[in-house]
Amino acid sequence: MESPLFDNWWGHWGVFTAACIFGALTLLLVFLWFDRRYWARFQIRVGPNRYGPGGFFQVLADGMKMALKEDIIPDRADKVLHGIAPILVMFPVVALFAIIPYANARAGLVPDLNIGLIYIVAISSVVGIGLLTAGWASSNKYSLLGGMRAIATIVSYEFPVVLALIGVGLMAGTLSVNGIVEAQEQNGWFIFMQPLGFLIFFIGMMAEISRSPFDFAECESELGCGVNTEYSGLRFGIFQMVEFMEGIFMAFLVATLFLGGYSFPGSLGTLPEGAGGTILGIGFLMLKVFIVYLVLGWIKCTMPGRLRIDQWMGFAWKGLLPLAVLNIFIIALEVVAFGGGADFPAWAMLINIPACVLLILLWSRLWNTGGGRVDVRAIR
Amino acid sequence: MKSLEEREEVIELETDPYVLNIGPHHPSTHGVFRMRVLFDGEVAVDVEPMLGYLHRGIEKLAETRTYTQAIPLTDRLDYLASMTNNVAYCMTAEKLAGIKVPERAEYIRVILSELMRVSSHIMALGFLMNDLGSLFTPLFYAAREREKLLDLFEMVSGQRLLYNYMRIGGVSQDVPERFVKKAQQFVDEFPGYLDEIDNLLTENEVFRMRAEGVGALSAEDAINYSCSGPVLRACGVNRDIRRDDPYSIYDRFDFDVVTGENGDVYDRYRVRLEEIRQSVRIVKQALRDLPGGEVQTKHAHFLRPPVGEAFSRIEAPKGELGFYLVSDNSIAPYRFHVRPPTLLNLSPLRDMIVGWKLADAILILGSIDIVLGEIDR
Repeated sequence: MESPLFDNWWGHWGVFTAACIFGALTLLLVFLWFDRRYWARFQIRVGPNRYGPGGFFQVLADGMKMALKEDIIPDRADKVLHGIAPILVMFPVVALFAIIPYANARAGLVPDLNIGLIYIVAISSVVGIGLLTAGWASSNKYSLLGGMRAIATIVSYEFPVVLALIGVGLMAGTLSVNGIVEAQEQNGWFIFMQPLGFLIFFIGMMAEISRSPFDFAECESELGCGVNTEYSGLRFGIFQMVEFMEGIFMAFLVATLFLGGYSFPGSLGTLPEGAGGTILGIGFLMLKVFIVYLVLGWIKCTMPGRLRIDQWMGFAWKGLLPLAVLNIFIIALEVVAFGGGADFPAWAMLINIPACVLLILLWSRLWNTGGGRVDVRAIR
Repeated sequence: MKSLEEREEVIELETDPYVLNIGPHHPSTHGVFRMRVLFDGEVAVDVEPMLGYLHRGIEKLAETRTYTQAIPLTDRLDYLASMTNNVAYCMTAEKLAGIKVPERAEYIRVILSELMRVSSHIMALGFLMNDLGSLFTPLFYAAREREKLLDLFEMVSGQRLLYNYMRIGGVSQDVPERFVKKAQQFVDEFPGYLDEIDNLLTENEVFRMRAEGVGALSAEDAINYSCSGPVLRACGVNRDIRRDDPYSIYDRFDFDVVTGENGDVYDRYRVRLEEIRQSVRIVKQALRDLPGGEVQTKHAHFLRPPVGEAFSRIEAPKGELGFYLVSDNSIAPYRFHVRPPTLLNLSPLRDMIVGWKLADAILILGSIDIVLGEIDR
């Protein structure tokens, strides 16, 4: 990849910004189509199969329908905030794709950013502001409740996610996302070296992106449509799109941080130089992203319900947060004791996998949901 | 100038309760039920149900029709269990006119009523899961089972939702030959599918966390509110009209009355699940004993029952369904009154919901298994 275009920063920026935006949108088509067909199989349905081969263009048709529909702004809504909320939700999700290394340190917008993990944490939280804005500006109680639930979820689950990311950073010795992939290339995938961190990150991230069954921003059965109740037309389409793009981004993040990113174990993993290696790396990454996305869809389809909001908050603060702290503690000790050695991955796996099982068993016994019926007279 | 302490009292954090209007076009109100709930944050403080969005004046309409013409109107009461509505109405009219029903028709009525109960309960479970927040997956599996039942009903009546199959003095036509075979096949296969649903959902951690203890109703309250059906039995009250006041030929069948303990959402779910198994048991026995013969007693085309009144009740899927008819010896009932189970099951709604959170309120409403066609009439 030593072409002049990529040595020129602005050329690099232009190419990869376009690639991030259009790549994300194209991926959306593929994943959304697959998601809908896959989801239908879980529900003993066929799914959309009329428009295009295997119903592939159904997503496009739906998007077009959304775009052509009337964009209704409620009379009592805050028109400015109501208008910019979808954009506030949209842009961080697209911006997050900048950090992903697709095939090497140069394939991607800024994959070698030295504060990569901090960038992820910071930008992904901006979505919450957009959701709250949408909920507040709609002048609808359902929207407001949805926005409040979304922000409460994001604030609570930010902690376990960040702490799980610290574990990754500690083990890799860098915050750069590409550095983390390279560390996994050397040591082994972090899903095996810190399974507890992986699980915490996975659950926390699902909560942060309001992925069903943790879709507290939407809560269809309770809040009608949550934050997007008062949205229609293209703006509603953007909210829907963001929901799926966040899912895809989460799959990218999990694949990159815990499943070795573009690297692959064995002799296949030694990527050749030049364009061939780049394409192979992107292929490996996409394969992993696809598998993670399948797991996400699987969880979405088979969970019989979501927790109540107080149980859900309790799960973050009483369940995931202490586990995440313990996870960092264990990993830090390991890094101090065995760090840098050739036997470090073996030790990490030997300690962390049993520790993960034991801690989860222990917490499932200790953890109590609490909540329950409130004495209403005490409130009044 | 106030002292700091006085000002502290003024700016003490106060929360304003707010009214949230749930329904009539909310996704989880099972039709057009509407309730205005006063919330303090997420906690429900007071509930005000508002009915009447599906009022069609069925009782009044029935008084302008002949006794037979009123049967299709009863279909539209509890439209998820039309057969049992037909049965309840026809039984009352037969009681009023003193008509005896042939043996075979009684068996057909029992078979179809119990299949209807299976269909109604399995949909109740599916919708309950939807209210819990699942993305339709359990509902589709429930609907798959209901689909087979609808095929059976279509076989006997030609309709899939509003059957209009029962007649005063029997049923409109004999069941086709293949119905018995298909019904037998269904009751043989169905328990396996039900076990599948049972294994997946009953012990599920998320479901138990959400449902156990939620919306608990004491047995005393349930009786005082005149609840019936699964809602009453979940509270531990052992009462089932099929056994306590046997109508039709229910005294010939062997089945258990299922009761819960706590009267919460989880117990209502379990009672429904177990009742489905008992219904399948009854259908098996009835199919085994199904006699031949007539299915319809001959009577005048325009029925003119003697002056008087009659009330009879059955154990419908959702509870005790009663019809009250007054005759003035004309071709139309003088008074036509329905005792709907779900309206009375809905009456303790406030007691159940107050103190629970928004998500629980939806779940509790779902666990009562309301059908608005019956509540508003």
